[in-house]
Amino acid sequence: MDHAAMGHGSDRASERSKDVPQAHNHAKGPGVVGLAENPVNRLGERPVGLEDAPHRVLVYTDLVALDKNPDTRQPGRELELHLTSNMERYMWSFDGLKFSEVREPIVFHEGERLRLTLVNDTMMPHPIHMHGMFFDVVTGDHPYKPRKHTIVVKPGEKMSVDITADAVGDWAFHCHLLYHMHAGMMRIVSVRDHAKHS
Amino acid sequence: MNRHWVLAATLLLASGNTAAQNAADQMFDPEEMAKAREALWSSHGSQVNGLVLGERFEYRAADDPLLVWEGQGWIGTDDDKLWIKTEGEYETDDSRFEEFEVQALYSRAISPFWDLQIGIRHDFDPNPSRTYLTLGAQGLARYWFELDAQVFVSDRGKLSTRLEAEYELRFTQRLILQPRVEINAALSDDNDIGVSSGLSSVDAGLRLRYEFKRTLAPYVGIEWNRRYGAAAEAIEADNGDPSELSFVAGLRFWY
Repeated sequence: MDHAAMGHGSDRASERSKDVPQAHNHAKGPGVVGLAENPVNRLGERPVGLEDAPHRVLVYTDLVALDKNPDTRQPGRELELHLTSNMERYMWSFDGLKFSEVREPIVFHEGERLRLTLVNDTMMPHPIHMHGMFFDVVTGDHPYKPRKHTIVVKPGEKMSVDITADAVGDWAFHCHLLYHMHAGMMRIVSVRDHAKHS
Repeated sequence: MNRHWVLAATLLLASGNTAAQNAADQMFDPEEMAKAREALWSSHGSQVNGLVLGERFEYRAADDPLLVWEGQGWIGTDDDKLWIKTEGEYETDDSRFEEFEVQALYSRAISPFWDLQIGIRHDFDPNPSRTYLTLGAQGLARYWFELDAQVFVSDRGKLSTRLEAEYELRFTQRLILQPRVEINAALSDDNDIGVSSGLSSVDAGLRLRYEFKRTLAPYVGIEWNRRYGAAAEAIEADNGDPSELSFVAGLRFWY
C-alpha cells in the first residue's frame, strides 16, 4: 500500500512552524469554497453559540480521562484530513472529495498508534464520528486524554486525535450531521492486518 | 452501537481467511457486497436532486395589463443538471401571449459559484416563433449578485444576448427587497419579430416580498420597461410609449 499516493502527509504537528501557512494538498472544485489559511486549535474554546453564555461552559480541555489511556505510545505517523464544503451548493466532503468520488478507504494498520489531524475549512462546526475505535483527544502530551467516538471540530480549527487501530475491518467515518454525511462527508476507514493481507 | 461491536468482533474472527480488501467480503457474497458498496457510494454524494422555482408569477398593471411569469427548475447531481427556464407575458385584454419562451439546458458546475449552461431556447411567441442555440453562465458573483448571462443564435442565424442581475436585500429573514435588471441586446436585425441591431430592451424591477414560508412569498413592486430600436418605433407608431412604469403584484414559490 502506497501511503504517499493517498495524499496524506506524515509530518508531525510538533515539528511544524506556526509561521508556515496551512497547506491544502487536496482536491478543489465546485465543492470547495473556503480554505482555512491559518487554522488554530480551539479545543479550549467554548462551542459555537455558547461563547457569551453567562454560565460556566465545559470545554474539551476541561475533560480528563478517569483511567489512564490503554495505549500510551507516541503516534507512529500522522494523517491529515480536511473538512471541506460549498454551502451555496450544499456540497460537503473530506479533502474536497465526496464519498461518491472516492473508491479507496483510509487505511490504518492493525495495532498501530496514529495521529489523525482534522482541519475544518468550512464555516460551521462538524461532529466527526468514527465507528469501531476511540479518539484520544490530544488536549496535551499526557496519558489521560479524554476518549471520544465523536469530536466537534469548530470552524477554522485544526486539532488532533490519537487512535489505536485495534479493530480490523471496515469502519464508517463521517460527519454526524447526517445531511452532511449523505451529501458526501463520509469515508471508510479500513483497519488492515497487513501480515495477512499484503 | 451494539450491532457495531458484534460486527467488529465477527470481522476480527473472520479476518485472515482470505486476502480480500473489503472486510465484509469475507462474510458475505462479494458480488452482493459490491452492489451494496455501489449503493452506499451513490447515496453519499451523487444523488439526483431537483428544484422548481417560480421566481415571478405576477399581475402587471400596465396600459395593457399583463400576466407575467418567470421560472426555472433543474434536476440532476451537484455537477450535472438538466436546467429548464421559462418566461412569458400574457395580455389579459386581448387574451394572447405576447412572449412565451422555454429553455432546456445542460448545466455543468464549473466553479464553486458558477454553472456553464448550453442548450436550446424556443420562443412560441412572438409570432413567428424562433428557436435558438444558447450558451450561458449562471451563478453568484461577488457581493452576492445573482447573474445569468446568455448568448443566443437563432435558427435564422441571428445573434442576440441577455444579461439578468438580481440582488436580495434582507430587511429581516422574511422581508426581502429584490432589485432586478434584465438587458436584451441584438447583434443583427430580425425584422419579422421586431428586433433591430443594438439594445432591444431594459427591464428594471423592485419587488418587496414576505416569506410566510421559505417556499411561499407574495410580493408587490414596481417594474420599469423600456424598448429600443425597431420595437420602440413600432410602439411609437401605434401612439404608445416605449417606456412604461407599472405596478406589479405576484407570488414567488419553490419546492
